[in-house]
Amino acid sequence: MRRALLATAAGIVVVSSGWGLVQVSRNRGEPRGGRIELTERELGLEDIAAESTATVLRLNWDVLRTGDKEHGPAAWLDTTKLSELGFDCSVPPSKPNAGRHYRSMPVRPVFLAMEYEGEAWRKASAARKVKTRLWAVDAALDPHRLRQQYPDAQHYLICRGLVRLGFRDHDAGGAGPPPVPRLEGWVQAIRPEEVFVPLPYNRVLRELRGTGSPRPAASETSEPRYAVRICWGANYEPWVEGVRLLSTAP
Amino acid sequence: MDMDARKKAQQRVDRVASFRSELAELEQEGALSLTPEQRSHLDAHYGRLLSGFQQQFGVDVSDSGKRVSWGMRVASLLGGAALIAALVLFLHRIWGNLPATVQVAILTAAPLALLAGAEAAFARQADRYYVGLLALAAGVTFVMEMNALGSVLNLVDSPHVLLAWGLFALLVAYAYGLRLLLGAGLVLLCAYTAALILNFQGSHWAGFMQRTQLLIPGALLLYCIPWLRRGHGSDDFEFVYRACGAGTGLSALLLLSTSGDLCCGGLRPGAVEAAYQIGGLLFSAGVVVHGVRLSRKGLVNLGVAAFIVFLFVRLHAWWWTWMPKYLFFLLIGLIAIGLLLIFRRIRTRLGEGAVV
Repeated sequence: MRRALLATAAGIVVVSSGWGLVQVSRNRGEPRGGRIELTERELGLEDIAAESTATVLRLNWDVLRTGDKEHGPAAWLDTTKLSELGFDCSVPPSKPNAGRHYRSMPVRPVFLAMEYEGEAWRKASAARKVKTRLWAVDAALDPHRLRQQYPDAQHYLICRGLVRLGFRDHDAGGAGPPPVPRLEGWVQAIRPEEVFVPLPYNRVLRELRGTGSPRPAASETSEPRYAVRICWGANYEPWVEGVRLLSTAP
Repeated sequence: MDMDARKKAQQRVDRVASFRSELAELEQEGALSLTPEQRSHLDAHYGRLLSGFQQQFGVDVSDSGKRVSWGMRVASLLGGAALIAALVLFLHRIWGNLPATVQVAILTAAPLALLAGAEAAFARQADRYYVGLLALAAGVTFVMEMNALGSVLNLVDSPHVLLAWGLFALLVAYAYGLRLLLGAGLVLLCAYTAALILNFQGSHWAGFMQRTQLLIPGALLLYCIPWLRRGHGSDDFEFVYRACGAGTGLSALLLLSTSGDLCCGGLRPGAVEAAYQIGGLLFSAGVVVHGVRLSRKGLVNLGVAAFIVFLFVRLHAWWWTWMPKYLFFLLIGLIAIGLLLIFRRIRTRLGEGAVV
């Protein structure tokens, strides 16, 4: 009996790893989410333990926000879009129990359309200094619909993300209630937000980690030092296909 | 080797030591005296029994032996933790130089190797503590493995890892009779049911702590499993089922009672919170009563702790805003003293029952 229990436990470990590999194989079968070259501005080197040789890139992205502010809800995530994404927006925000209804809503997984060097970036950079050229421009529950809407796979990625509904019944400064309580939509995250860089591509980036040069987060104006060819596959999960140094690299 | 047999052997050895000590006291007080023949028979019998247990199960037959064993356990815990830390840091150092296939192979092999280590320790009739330590390390490594695998392969997080971890913990717990792993497995499976419901509802599965009412059905089921098994399970495991069920259910109620309405849309927010708090008070009192009936100290302590927390939360909601703070804490102190007197009376009554 004990041996059978242990064999099943060992089987769970093997099957779990095997399932992961099957998913990777399925994902990499077709770059359905898009194939694109991003730079250090969009894929920053993640700080990990100094002794580690692992290389991880963090996706830096942004979204057009209401009032063109640096922080705030997504401008395009209105009540109609939130309802499309599955949020129950049937309670009028002005009702007394609306806050309780909306604040208890968990985040929802969605598919995001990410625009690279497009209209959203140009519009935002005209108003303020921006760090990245990768911008979330739309969301849907069906990735195929997004791809039909944004067919240019060189400039539009489809990836997984999380969207949150917010209920605003007071001003940001807390100075008092606005005339009408309202609903807000926030793009909370891209999933996964970090991309592991395997051999042989990580060798190029590891050298950059050692130079001690400032990263884009620290210096927004610095030129990117590398470009990464990256794909989002059939499961809308990313993988790195290539890394090259740019002429600005030391 | 049967784990229960080793435990029973150690319990018997402890009883023998207590009996010998009590016998010496009784002889000193003149209440009982054995003849030299009886004493030599008894000593010979115990000598055979204890040496047999020591050889068969490796039990500690003296206080000094027990103390050394504890020292060894602490040293092995620290040593094991240090060795795992060394291994993890070494892997960090070489991780980037390994191809993906080798990374996956290492990640898969690590929990299997520790599981094999636990089995080897078990086969060599090592102390249950060491078997448990290796099995626990296997469980922790499996959790780390799945996280690292997700990171290396850039996989999106999934609720099904909770199922894999929970089942693994449950199977290993039953294989070696380990309560800690059983508890971890049960809580993980309870969390999995909540995460799965949330996933089917179209929300992100990791948000189940925002919807703790989804944990309550699983918690109730855990608490009821010992009844459903009608006493066929071991006593220790039945306690773990009940403690995990009560702990998860009470924590869920506590979160609901502070975060507000998640189910009863028609009621006022304050009324819903009060309903959860009063429900929590009643449930925790029920756990205390049930724990007393089962003579399970752990269940009683859990119920008492939850009762005090729920009482504090409710009194805070009633009094904190309008009452002077010194008066609030004075009343809390007086209520605690009142509870102490009630528990003392219950203890005296139980003591009288035991003496009779």
